[in-house]
Amino acid sequence: MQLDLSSNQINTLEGLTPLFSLSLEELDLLENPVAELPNYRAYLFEKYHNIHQEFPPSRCLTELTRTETKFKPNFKIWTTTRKMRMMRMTVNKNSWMRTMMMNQSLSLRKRNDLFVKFWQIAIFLNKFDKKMGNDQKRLD
Amino acid sequence: MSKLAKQIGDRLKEAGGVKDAHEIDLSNLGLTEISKDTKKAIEKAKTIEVVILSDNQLTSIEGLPEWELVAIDLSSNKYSFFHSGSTMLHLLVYLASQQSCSLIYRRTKSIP
Repeated sequence: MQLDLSSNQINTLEGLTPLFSLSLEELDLLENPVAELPNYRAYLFEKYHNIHQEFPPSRCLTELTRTETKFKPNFKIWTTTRKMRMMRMTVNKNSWMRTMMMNQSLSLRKRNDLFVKFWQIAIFLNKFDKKMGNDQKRLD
Repeated sequence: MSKLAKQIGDRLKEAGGVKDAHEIDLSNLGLTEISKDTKKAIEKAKTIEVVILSDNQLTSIEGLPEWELVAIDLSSNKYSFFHSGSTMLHLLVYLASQQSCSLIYRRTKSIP
């Protein structure tokens, strides 16, 4: 299951503990007060990795992605920027695109690429609408 | 029929109708709870797999029908710190009850 809890009010590391008992395929905790804590990423990674080794955090946690090494995983932090978040919100408003974004057969990288492409199309359409005098805002 | 129930009905129609809808978009409806009226309006749809509850004021999802979900979007709500008796407790109990179906889903979907 995918769980998006971004932009909520979870504010302590202890508050995340119960989430680790769930076999989540994807967990998004961006823009919670807890994400500002210094040990947040290390804690999240370590706990999730210890419990769900068969399902590595590179696949589960939106903010973390894994580099190549297979048996000694070397993780790097991939920070989702606010712009990406805005793009995601835009995509969320589009039903068919959202369904595609949630397609588990696509990798996170592929899904992010789709976000970018969708965003570019939306910008183009917005410019086109302005040129044609259409006030409908696609990028709200 | 309340305004909210009508809005939910419209969104269910957009998603393919009560019988065929696989996702339901309940974002930006100003929900502070899943009220009885809301539950009544949404529980007619039996095949929901994706629930979008973003941009509301929810502190709990108590009252959400027992669907076999694969994704739930609770972004931009008011979930807070977990402790016994807190509002997050129900979310976790709800999600834990979904684990069996998500395991089946994982087995049937190949993840690259």
